[in-house]
Amino acid sequence: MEPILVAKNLSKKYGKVVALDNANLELYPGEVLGVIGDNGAGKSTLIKVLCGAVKPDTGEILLDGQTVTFSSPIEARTLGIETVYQNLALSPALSITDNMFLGREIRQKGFMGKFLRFLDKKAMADEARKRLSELGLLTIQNINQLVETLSGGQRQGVAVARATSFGTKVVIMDEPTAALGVKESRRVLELIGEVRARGIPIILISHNMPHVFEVADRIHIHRLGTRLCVINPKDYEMSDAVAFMTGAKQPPQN
Amino acid sequence: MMVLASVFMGKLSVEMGVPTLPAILVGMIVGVATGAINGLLVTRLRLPPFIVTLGTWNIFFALVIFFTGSQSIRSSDIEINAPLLHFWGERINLGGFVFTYGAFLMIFMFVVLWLVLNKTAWGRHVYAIGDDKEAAELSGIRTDRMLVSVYAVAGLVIGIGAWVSIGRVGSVSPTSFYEGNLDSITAVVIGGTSLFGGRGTILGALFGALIVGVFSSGLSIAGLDVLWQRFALGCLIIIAVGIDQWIRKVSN
Repeated sequence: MEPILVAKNLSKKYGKVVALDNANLELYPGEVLGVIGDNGAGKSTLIKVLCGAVKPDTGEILLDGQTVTFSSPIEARTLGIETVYQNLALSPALSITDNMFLGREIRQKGFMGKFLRFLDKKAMADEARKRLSELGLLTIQNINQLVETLSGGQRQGVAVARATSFGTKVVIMDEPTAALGVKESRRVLELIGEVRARGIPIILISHNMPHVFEVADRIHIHRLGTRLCVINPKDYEMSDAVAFMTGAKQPPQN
Repeated sequence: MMVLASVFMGKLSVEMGVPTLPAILVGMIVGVATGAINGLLVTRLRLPPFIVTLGTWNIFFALVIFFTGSQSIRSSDIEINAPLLHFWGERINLGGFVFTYGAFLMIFMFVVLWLVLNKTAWGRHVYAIGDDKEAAELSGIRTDRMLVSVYAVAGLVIGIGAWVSIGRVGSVSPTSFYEGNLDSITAVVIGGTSLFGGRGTILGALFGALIVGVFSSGLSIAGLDVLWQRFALGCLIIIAVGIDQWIRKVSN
């Protein structure tokens, strides 16, 4: 099977600090790839490069076998790489619908939309409702509720629904459970399962080992700016992964 | 900015013989342009908006004094040369109540701006940027462009306000409405608009303006000293915002 997203020999230096040192990554269709690494291992830089927030010094990114370059997250997004940021990038004072369509609103047909640029609120609300129910998030009662009235898990749900709604090829999730309680985290992990079930591959960056081991199909371990190894969570214990991450144990040769 | 725009309207039409309508148009363009300048300074030079507007406020005030030589354009001269400038100050009697045309324009403006803010993507983006600029940026909104357009639209509203202000006071005076911006800030804050951005409604701003207007007119009619009117207005601001904060806290 061909990988959908490939990063080849990515390097990035900040002054003398080497954040990425010939890093590689492959993401296959329909999988959840966990990315773990110690603080300062360069995993956030790797993710920022993949989502378009940072330009690498060298190396290339291939999406569907095509070399792609992007100078902003928006360009990456138009190509189908959606990112759910740790802070979610939602506007709390706007409604769920407004947030889901922020930057890609649907306009009314005919004169009202074309010349007066009026929004088709009904179409947007219907679509938003559909997306949320597809992800099993219909516990949200009112689609025009303000995002600030939602719980952390529900907000995460809205952000995920938005990320998976617009012809998305890859979803990158940055620490989706970091700010959540036990119950809400559970909900988000289920959500990851739902997204995978719909055939969208996910890159999951997390500090939470049990979460990564629970949902990831493969785990990419990042160390000293590069990929140390990729392990199958079924073959290893969490303590092994931590040992690889910190350098306490030699990684498997693969 | 508003006084600057009204000075352009008055100078061109009354003293330089430009037909009134083009002169008004130029005044509005001045409004839009000065707004856009503020927007560009905020977005290109990444200066705090408060500092930019404080700076340009002084600059524009100085320009007004320079252009007018501190002289007002008299109401009688406007009436002879460019009566159209007084249009919004004309009165109409409806069932015993006297309205100026300006009052209808105000309602029209509130309706238009309400539609724009609530029914268009542009309006939603204004809220999104005010709420969290970075989040808006990541959602794909070109925030800098948006901000410049917001300042320009504010400039247009100011241009319209300039025309109305001539009708209201009759003359074009370089020192009138010197505190107009503070009064409008007072009105919108009382109407529930957040100075930190992202929150506020057109209806709130309308009621804020009405409260401030009724309050100060009422106190005037009651014969209260201007000094104590100001004192009371200050108290009103603090009480209104205090209640607003308290309601927010309780409702959460």
